[in-house]
Amino acid sequence: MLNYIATRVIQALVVLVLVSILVFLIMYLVPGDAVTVLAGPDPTPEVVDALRRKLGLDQPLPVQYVKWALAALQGDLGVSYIIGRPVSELIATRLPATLELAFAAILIASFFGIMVGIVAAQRQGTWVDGAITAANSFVLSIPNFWFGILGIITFAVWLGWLPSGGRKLFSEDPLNALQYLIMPAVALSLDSIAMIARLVRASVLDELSRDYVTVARAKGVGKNWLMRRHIARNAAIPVLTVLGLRFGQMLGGAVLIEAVFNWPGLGRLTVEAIKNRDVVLVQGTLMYFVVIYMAVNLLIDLSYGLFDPRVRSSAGGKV
Amino acid sequence: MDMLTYLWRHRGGRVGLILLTFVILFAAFAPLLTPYGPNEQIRGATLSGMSWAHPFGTDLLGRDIYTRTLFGARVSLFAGALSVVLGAFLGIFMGIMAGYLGGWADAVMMRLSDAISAFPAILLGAAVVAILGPGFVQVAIAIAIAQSPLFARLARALAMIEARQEYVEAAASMGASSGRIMLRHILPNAMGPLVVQASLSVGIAILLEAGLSFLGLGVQPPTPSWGQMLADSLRFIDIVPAYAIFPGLALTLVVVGINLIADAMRDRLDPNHVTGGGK
Repeated sequence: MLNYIATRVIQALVVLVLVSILVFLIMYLVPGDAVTVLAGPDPTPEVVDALRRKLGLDQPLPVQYVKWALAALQGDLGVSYIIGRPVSELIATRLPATLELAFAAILIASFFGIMVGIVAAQRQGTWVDGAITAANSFVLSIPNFWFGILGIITFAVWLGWLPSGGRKLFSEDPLNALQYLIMPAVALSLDSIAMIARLVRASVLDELSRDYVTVARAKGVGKNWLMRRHIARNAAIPVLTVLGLRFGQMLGGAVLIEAVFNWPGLGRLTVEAIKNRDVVLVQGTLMYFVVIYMAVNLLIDLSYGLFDPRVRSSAGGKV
Repeated sequence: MDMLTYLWRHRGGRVGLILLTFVILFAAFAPLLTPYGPNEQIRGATLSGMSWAHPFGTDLLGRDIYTRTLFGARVSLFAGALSVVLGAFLGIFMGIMAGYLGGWADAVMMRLSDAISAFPAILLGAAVVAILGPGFVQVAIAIAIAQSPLFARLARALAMIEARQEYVEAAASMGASSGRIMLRHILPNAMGPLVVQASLSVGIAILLEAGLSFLGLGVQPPTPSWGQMLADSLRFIDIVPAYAIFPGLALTLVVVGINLIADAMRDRLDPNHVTGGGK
């Protein structure tokens, strides 16, 4: 098991270095660098030179990269030269909104996804199963930001039940905050519900066809007991994997949903930075997303042993 | 039995074919299906609701939304097709090199593909557009880069399977070069699952294009695109809700159609689902 962990961690580190090089190079690929922004219109060559020296842009590229990467490792992602504040501070102010939305969406997705999947599996071959399968395929093709817009038309414009966008703090007025959260969270969770329902249906059916289920049923074990004690546990592994991956993606900011609902999260911060050509901020947020996403992936891989004793024992050690 | 006949006999495939054919016909004959031009500003028709003259209403500049939805299909379909062709080309190149050559080529190509797929697709696309500048081809390239790892991983897995086959050994012993073996022997035999992956990717590519346009990073105005129309519609959602409904509906129908066809093709070409991590 230790060997497996070491290999996975080293692989992840190699990818991380590659990603950081790509992200660092954005600075040189995006037309118009920091100097042109900071120097203002028609700068003298002396001003430009001084600025280049001050920003360290006169040094060789590898030196600049190493300096940038070392600072990033210490949490210093630079200062946004458009907003004029440290990137890490900007990320920290937007993080709570993104976390809140991601948690809510994952909660909704797991609850409804698992429920719908189990119902479909228990009624396999009936019209209920057919309807659920068809609805799943349809839902997976709906762009979730359009679903969000339809939600605004229905619940904000026509019925007037929910606000059309923005965010309120739970610490101030929980009920009001929930009203703001519910539509973006549901819109964000929609495709995850379909994906999880599909997966749950397939895993439950797979488990139901196994010998141990037949034996247990023959010995008179109740259906519900069997479902709770055996089938649900075995079917949980792939579901947890997908939930974890989706959560990792959502922490990367639900860019489009945030744009639809004016949700002040990280996705919008990044898109604004890209539009303003705020290169330092773009680099910082991209690095943040990648690190989070890769960390979640790594954790999921390493946690297989926890959920599935076979992984643990075949590797011959503890997790 | 050829593919079209097969798709027509497949229940989902038939629905997909009908949907997609309709959209392609609408896109191709758009100028014949409407009296207006896509950028024509009609006097006195600003933000009008649905009417006989303007079935989907008009936008802020008095342009007919039905007309712009028709023309928007062109952007979506072209962007979807072009980006998948480019992405497949790039990914298959990387994957076959990695799978057949192994060793360093494998390590470099696969870590590069891991690095690309570590970015959220829409943000990677947005960053590439920031580098290349907005525009139709740039967006297609951005989406192609984001999609290339899927093809790379699948092509690698398939190339590794094929590389162990006797016919490859035979070709190599007869003096065929690596390039020839990869291009003439491995690629044709790995084509089935790759075509399925490509058909699945078209739907995702169309959604990505719409997403980038929605964020204002896609095809630039006044060229009509569905994503951009949806973004525009949000500003007037309480005056002309229809504006937000029809471009989104068109987008959904295209993606449903393409996904139905892709699923049907998977049943035919890839009975074992050899997909390399694709959903």
